[in-house]
Amino acid sequence: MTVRRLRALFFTLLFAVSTLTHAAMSGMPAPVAIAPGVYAFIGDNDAVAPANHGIVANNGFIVGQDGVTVIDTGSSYRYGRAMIEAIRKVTPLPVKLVIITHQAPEFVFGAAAFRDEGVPILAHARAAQLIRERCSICLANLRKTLGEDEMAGSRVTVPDQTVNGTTEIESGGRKLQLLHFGPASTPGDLAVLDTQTGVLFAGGLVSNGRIPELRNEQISGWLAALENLRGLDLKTVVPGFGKPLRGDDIMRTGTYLRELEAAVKQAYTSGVGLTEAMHTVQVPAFRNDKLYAIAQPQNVQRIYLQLEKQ
Amino acid sequence: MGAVVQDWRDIMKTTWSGVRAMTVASLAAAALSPYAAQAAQPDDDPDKVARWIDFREGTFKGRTIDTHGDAVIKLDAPARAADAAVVPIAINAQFPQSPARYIKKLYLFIDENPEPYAGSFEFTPESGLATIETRVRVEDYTFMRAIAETNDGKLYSAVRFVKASGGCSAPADKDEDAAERTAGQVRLQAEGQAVAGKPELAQLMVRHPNRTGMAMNQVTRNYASAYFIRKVSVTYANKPVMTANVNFSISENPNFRFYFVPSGSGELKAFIEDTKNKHWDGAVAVKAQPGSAQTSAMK
Repeated sequence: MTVRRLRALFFTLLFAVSTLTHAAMSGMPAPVAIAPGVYAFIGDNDAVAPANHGIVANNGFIVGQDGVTVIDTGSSYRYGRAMIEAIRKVTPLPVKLVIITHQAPEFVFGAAAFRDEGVPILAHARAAQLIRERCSICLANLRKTLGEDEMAGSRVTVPDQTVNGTTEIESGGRKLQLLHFGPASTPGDLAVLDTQTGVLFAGGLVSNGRIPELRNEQISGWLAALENLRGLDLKTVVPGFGKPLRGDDIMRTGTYLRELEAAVKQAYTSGVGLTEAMHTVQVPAFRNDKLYAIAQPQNVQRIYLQLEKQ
Repeated sequence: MGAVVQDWRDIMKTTWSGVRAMTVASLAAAALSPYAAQAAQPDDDPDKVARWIDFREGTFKGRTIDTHGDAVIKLDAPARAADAAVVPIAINAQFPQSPARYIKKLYLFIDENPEPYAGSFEFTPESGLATIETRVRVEDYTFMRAIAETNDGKLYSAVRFVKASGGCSAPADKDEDAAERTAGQVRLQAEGQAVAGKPELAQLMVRHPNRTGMAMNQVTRNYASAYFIRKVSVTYANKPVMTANVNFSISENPNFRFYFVPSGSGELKAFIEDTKNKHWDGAVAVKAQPGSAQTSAMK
């Protein structure tokens, strides 16, 4: 073998290795089988950081007779690509539809990868509007946190299909209920119920072991939405963040919201200033939840300022 | 396909077996967190920030600033702010005002803001405690500096680093005309029962758009001109207790918490002027309970 041939072989091998490493995104979780045909990617539930590549939230897919429905898309274009590849390892069926459960940076930015494949993207009309108006700011924030390389190719992708309320659809040969209970964690929350298996993707409505970041919430509506979900007597719920849950366990999110609101109200009415309230108002039972140190003072601020406007 | 797919029941199992370990880890994290928060502050080199140097030279003309001013003021600002338009801050005085020794003026400077100098707050011995709490606009990741000038002419600074991002949930653009029409509602109040001779906390809220002139309305694509409250003067029994000369770095609907020392009964009065020379005032009668002669300013 000549030196030139050896070198050629070397570069061929090197190329093969680099394609393989590019094929999988580092930190990409394996899909978890939740029920027949229902899979979830469970993020690490922490704050978005370079170490976790922004893979913090959950998303998933449902394989029907003739196609796949994707629910939520992660925080980058690269993640969206990695989802597509992971889905291909599970089924050769085409992705027919992407559903975005709500407007939040950890859920929307992989959508561009699906759009590049010509997949329609659906959200509640209010979520689509907020993505159009606000997501460029979220994208800039993510770029700052994760860096240009991690966010390469990511762009604001406005859903091209919208619903205005609870709707039943048929996607990929599977009947799905898109549940909307009015403004809750955001103005345009959807929860996706796979009617065949009774698995619910709860999106922004449920968080397991992680403090929800109040960004655009309406607490009374959110609590009502959780009560509605509890009434459905669900077997398995894939929350927006954290491990899958069963039935009543989703109410822990409501407990946090109720206790937070009561504690802030108490501080506000007794004349505690905002800065002090951010230091002192706690919800002790949730201290060990992820994001507590960051999200708790921010949540206190949000509720305090709303009280001030009343 | 079993190799790439995990069964979620396995995950649920690990959750439970992991509970104990997690609790111990979280307890450790909770115990360490105050230090972690300190460590998150990057090092500041005040001699390398061009706009701060410009301001410092222009305002303080080469006078020395003690950068370890912890015994005089502490600056309280969140390390991370979810809403860059409303970042709550407090400059906390570390000793009570007395005619012999008092903080005369506090300056607030936010390095990365388009207009870094946010303004000043002036105090007198009648203020009781030269503490001010308000909400500011913060651009980006920035150092925030509070400088205290004491009555002997000495300068002390306190610095915090703030990461302000957010904006993901900024409220919908509002009607600028309506905001301007309702501008000027004033709420002035004293918190709790005032005690004569003891610094009493007061709060002033003014409804005002306090526009920067730098934000584009997402609907009309227009920039509304800058329009903000530029001066707030508060007196008690006709003696000044807090005078703020500020700009659009103060958040919409400006809110100030500060102290004054009541004596028997007197009126707390606020006079507010904006950049269109509109002015408003607010007043509240404060009836102080007789207190001990000894002032005890610290909470």
